[in-house]
Amino acid sequence: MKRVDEERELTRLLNEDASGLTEHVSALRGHVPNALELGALASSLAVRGIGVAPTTPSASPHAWKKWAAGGAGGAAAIALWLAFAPRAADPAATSAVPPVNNTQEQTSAPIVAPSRPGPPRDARPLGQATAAESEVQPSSEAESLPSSSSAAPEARAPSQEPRAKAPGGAQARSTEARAPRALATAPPTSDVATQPTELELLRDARLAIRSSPAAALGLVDRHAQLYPQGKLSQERELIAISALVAMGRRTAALSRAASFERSFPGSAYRKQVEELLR
Amino acid sequence: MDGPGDQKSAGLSPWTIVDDSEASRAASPRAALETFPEIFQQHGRFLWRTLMNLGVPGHDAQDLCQEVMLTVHRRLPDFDGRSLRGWLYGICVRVASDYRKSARVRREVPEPEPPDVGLEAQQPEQVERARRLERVLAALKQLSEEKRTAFVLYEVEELTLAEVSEAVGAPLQTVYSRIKAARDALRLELSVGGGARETG
Repeated sequence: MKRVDEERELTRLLNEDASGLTEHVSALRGHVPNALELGALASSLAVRGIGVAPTTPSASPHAWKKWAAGGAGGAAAIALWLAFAPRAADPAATSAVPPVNNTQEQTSAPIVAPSRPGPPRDARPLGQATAAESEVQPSSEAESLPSSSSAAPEARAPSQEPRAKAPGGAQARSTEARAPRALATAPPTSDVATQPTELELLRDARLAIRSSPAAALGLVDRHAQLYPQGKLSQERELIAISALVAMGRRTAALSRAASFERSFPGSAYRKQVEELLR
Repeated sequence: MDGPGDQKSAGLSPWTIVDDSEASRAASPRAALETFPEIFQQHGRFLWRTLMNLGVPGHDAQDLCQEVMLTVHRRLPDFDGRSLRGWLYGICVRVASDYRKSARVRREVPEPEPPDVGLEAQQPEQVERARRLERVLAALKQLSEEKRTAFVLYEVEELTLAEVSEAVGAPLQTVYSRIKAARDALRLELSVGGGARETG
């Protein structure tokens, strides 16, 4: 029997044997990382110079252009991180969400595998599965997510079904797209309305690591001054350690990493810190 | 086999710049020429989900997903374009398998209950959903690794049988048998709330 025919027959047999596990499968599909976790992953890849936001790759062999591309990749990762950050964490982040979200929506079309032999899975009892997946809110990353990943809206599986168009949240974000901001250089002020947000400070700090790690460290210190218990304290410390490593201040980096370990023993960035100091 | 201990990955300097224009595109013209960023955006969360559903604890899932992504990024130029999802999930499955076999896992203290699901949801249906997830994850753990993997890839990730076959490196008939057996075991486990344990 040809492989395609064999697959078709076996799939038919599986379709006939309704699993009766629809609700449990639906729960497993909802077991996805939240936006902050994905942003942390993007950030960890960006630290390694691997951009995860769609950018125009640099074709230049020159090192400085590669550094710029890496910086752009890092900036893109930060943009992705910003996009994934929960709205409730920082209201200003809503307006600071960059156009990358639009790009994300535009490129979220399902990737169709080059070849999809075998029978379509339409005969599966997708009615119930589809109904479960109708709970999907693809723009969940735009909203403040509960900490329970199981409670987070499940994302659609890729390539099998079309992604639902994001509801108003993402569309609203698209109208708020703004040009990239200049580095935050305003002096500290007690006026909360004008002081830079956590995201702005750390975004600028991350952008500055490669070109001017000392400036990055200054921005990090300012973040610590303005937001000593900020929600992005872990990210601040990661950036600080990165900047110290870039400056060749290994002893200071080790000391700050030790402090990080004490302050955030279960941090998801633990391995990234170890990698930086390797 | 690429895995958590892969030296090439471990030796990557944090300041190494990877030229995406060359390294991030699948080589074969038969492929859809997805770039690494596209793969991350469209598959990243599902690969992470698969790791967790295959038994990787939440606190290790990000590290493992990073391993998967680094492997994908490094090997993407060599991807032959036959089946992107089969290839991606194959990497995911091997990383999860290596993790389970690692010494760290053998010494691991059992997770405190409840696992990373969390019950901070405020609505009864969300609480019920969280509890259902707990139960099915516990039931999945009772399956053999092969059956659990086949079930997760086919039922949850909705890969085709051919893609599952490629991901796990087993013939179609074997994959079919594993899925069928997994369904039977899970139905029993979840209907009676802890029936006979599968030993194979």
